Amino acid sequence: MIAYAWLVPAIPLVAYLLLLALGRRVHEGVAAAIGVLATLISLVLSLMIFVDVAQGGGQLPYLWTWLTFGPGPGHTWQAGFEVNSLNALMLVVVSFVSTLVLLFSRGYMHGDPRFGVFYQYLLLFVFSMLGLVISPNFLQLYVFWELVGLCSYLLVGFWYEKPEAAAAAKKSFVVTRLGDVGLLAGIILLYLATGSFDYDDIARAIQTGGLQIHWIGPQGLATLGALLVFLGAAGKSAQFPLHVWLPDAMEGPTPVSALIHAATMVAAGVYLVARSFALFDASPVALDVVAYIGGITAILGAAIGLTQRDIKRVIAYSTISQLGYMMMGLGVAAYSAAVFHLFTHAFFKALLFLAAGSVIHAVDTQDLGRMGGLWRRMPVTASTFLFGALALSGVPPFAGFWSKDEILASTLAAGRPLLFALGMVAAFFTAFYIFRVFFLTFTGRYRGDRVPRESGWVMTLPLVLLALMALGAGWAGAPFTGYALERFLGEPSGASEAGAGPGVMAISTAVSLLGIGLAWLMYGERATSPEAWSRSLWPLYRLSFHKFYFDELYQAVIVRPAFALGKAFDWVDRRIIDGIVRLAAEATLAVASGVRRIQTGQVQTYGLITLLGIVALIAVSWSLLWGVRS
Amino acid sequence: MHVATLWVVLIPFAAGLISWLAPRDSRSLPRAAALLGSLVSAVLVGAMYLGYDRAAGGSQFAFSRPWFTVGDALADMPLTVTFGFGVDGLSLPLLALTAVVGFTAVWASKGIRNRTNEYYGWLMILLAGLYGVFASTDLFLLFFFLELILIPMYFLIGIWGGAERTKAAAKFLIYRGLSSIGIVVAFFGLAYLAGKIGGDMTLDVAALTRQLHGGAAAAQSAPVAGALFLLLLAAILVEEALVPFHTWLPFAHAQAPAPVNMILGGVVVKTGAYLFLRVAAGMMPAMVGRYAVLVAVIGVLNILWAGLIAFVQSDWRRLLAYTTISHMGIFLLAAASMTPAGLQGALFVAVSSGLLTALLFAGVGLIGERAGTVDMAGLGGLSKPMPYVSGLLLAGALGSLGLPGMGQFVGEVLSFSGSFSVFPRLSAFGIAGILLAAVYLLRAMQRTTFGPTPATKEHLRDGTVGEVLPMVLLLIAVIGVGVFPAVIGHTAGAALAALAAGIGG
Repeated sequence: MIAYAWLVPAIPLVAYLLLLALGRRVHEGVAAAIGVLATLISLVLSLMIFVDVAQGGGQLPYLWTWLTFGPGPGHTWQAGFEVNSLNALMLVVVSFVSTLVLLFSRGYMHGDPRFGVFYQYLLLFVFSMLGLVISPNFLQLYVFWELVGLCSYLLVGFWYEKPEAAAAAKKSFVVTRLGDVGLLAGIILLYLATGSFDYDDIARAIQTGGLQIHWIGPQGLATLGALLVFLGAAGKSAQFPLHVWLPDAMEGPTPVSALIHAATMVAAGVYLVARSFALFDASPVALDVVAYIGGITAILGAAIGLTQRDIKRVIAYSTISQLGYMMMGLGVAAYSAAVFHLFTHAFFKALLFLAAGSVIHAVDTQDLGRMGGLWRRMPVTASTFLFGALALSGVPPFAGFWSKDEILASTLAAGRPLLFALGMVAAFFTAFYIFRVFFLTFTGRYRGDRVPRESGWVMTLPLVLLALMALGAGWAGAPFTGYALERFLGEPSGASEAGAGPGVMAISTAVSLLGIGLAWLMYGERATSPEAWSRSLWPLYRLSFHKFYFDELYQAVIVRPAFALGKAFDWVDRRIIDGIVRLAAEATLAVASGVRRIQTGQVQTYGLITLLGIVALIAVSWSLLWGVRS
Repeated sequence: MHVATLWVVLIPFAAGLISWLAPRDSRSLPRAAALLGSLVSAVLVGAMYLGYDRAAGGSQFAFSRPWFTVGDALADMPLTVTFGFGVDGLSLPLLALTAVVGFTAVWASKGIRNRTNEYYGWLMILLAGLYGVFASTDLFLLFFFLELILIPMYFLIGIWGGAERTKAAAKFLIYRGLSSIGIVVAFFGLAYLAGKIGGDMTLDVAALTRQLHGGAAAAQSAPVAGALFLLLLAAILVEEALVPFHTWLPFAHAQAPAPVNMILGGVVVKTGAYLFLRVAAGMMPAMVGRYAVLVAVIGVLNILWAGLIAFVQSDWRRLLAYTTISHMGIFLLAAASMTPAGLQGALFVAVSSGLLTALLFAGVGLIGERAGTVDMAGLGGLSKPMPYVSGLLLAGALGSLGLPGMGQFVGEVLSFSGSFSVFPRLSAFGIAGILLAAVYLLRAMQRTTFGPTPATKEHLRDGTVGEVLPMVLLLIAVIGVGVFPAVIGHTAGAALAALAAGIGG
């Protein structure tokens, strides 16, 4: 089956082209059926591949030459695909979540005039994302990396007539592009150093000391290369300080947020660091940067999530925070723990988004202040959301508990108590903010004005399936299954981690329950007023509520100066450069005799003069050369 | 003797003459002649592209006759000028670019309604001139065609352009006329140098390349060679509209009609790129090596300068002018590296930028026709009334900012692969231009096609199939290059490798 792995992305691509051919006015049911069927086939194939890999199937990359641009080795680009334990797992996750999201969208997008286009974009995304994970080299990864970015752009801006959506689409593309420029530079550097874009070739070159360019030593190159690659990963995975695009990306339809901005695309950065772990492992500096950026992102995202009033924004900041955990794990060389968390997070975060989508669909608002009391009216949505919230908070035996604890234990084992502390505080925030959302949405009195109804089966079935995963996905890597998932993934050389001992487990469970309890006191029981808390802690509250003023900062420090610079250059262009030119031109024209006639605007006259001018020009240069004849 | 290459030049010329003979405002005959002429010449180019023997390489489909001889032209050396046409790996991609952009531009000219016989006449002569530039195997002939281009361009801008058309036409002419002086002096200077080295003064491209390339290093790097190179470089900067000799291009673009803009930005500007590869890199590799840093600095300066200025443009045509300038900056940075990757990248950028610029101008032209303006301040929300045109415009913008799947991406990766190996620090600045491109192009898209649709734009008609056909063809072409880059890479590989070898050897 592994030899046919290319079919996994190819089938959604075919479905995309089919929908493209069917046009914009395709029947909703047809579009959805084609989409779900295609992703379902991809899911089945992915599962078969996964089983093959688990049984030790071949892992050679299948390659062909894409472009030869010079003689000799090092002047070709390869394309192809590869299958290994990491991307076999990714294939399953991506195709599984995709299938459910495409099914869910049948209900959520029902009635949208561009329903068919929505499915086109989603299928293009699924193709690109699956293509990304089976790419055997950095260059091909970059190709799909940009394509998923394109799909994200198109889908965030799907409701383009909303100015916020249009702005958010551009912002998401530009901010991630900033990281991508670094990634591309890093890829090119590694290529120049090794003559190959291939992950394994580069890893081998690192291990055999073959990584060098004339102007930088091997150690410096490893660090520079790793940091540049990480810049790309940080952009895609919304790591501090490039996290600012992800909350805005919530302007896209909610299924998009679930699929692209929670489960799959934003995890691509984590996947990239994991796939090129050998590179990071060669540079302790780069690993530390990854770890601390991850830690900062984890706490920053969680801290902002505490106070947001838009249900999707809270979950978006939660995604940022959880991606931070994964990066932190990779930074302390806890390779399989990070991938494990990527795995569990994909399910429970997609679940939270889709459940939120179900709520938004029912109440037609994203404002937490206008929800409440939905537990009885939307029992399936509410209970599945609860599963997701428990998994996110890290309450045993839900999925997030096992993977998050492994990362936290690894920070401790790696001798990074500061990171451990950051992770624990973030875990407390996490439990608090997600249950704040839960209580505000599902308990108490309903504060909206539209009568909410439970969503239909196309929307609740994906919720139920994801809820089961949010409960059980973590067991694949839990101690009582002998860390099966971690063993399946294997550890690349240099990676090390610790299983979470009972101590860490106990502390983190206590912290989570504490957070949930506080949320219950404030928003469930109303025993203590959240307003009073925000008043007494107002500087912190405002910092969190205003997202630490990152957007304002970037506006002032980057956007406006760049604009001013552009204006200044434009002025130089129009006034100085063109001014000199005009001066010269007028002086030249004044010398010529026919100045007045030119001004008559008669084009023929003008043309004649031109012709004469050219002839004269040739004649002059000619005689200049020939004039020196002896 | 092959006459195919000759026909490629003659057919558009003949179509131009036929069009001219038609009555003044006759619509159908001139257009039919131009469409047929550009299509047949495009098919011929396609046939040569497919038929070119890549293993053998070199100039093929050649037609060469001695034209005239000047006895003791200079320092007692005779000079023979040949009437020579032919194609090789370097000229074929640019001929193909001319073919695609030429045909689509003719197709897109339907909106031109006055003095159509003259219009299509000039347009076809322009095409003939461009084909001639890329298909000449003698520098004298090449220069002749370079001059020939100026006349139709002048009239096309000056008659069918916007309010300031005569000024823009004059500015175009003055700039390109001045650059012609530099080019002609450089050409004859090269012939003189070749005579000094090899005994024979010649303007034949192959002979010149052979003599100058293989010539004694001392003669090749004589002071006069340095002066000639700098002169040629300055002329090329004007041709490519590079900072600080660039201000003619935004002005010309803002005045010229859309189909003319397609050819101006798509092909005319690229003649400078061709001259750089053919003459500067091909005949004076030692000089390119000596002044590599200068050339690379100019390249980076253009990427950033034009990128930042593009940021604040609100007229689409000026924006696209600066986009082109920025692309040509990448070209220069890449070509200066004189590595196989860099030279390939430069060629890919030249061709892709040409296709994408034409695509974008076609879209902007349609929008201008419908909405009555191409100033972003007066646009917005066009995705709703004009989804297909908006989508194609977006595709062009995404291609221009280097989205994988289109040729520009291949060009940029190759370009920076080449430039990073020689100028790592400069390239770090250059690659930042990729980010600028994303900013200014997506900002323009946001202001044009996204957002609420103003009431005045609600009922604009989308492009008809016939109207969007040029954009679709150009998009297919640029995606073809992006997905199957070997189409160009395999064709030009040997010719560019020979250029790169020039600096190593």
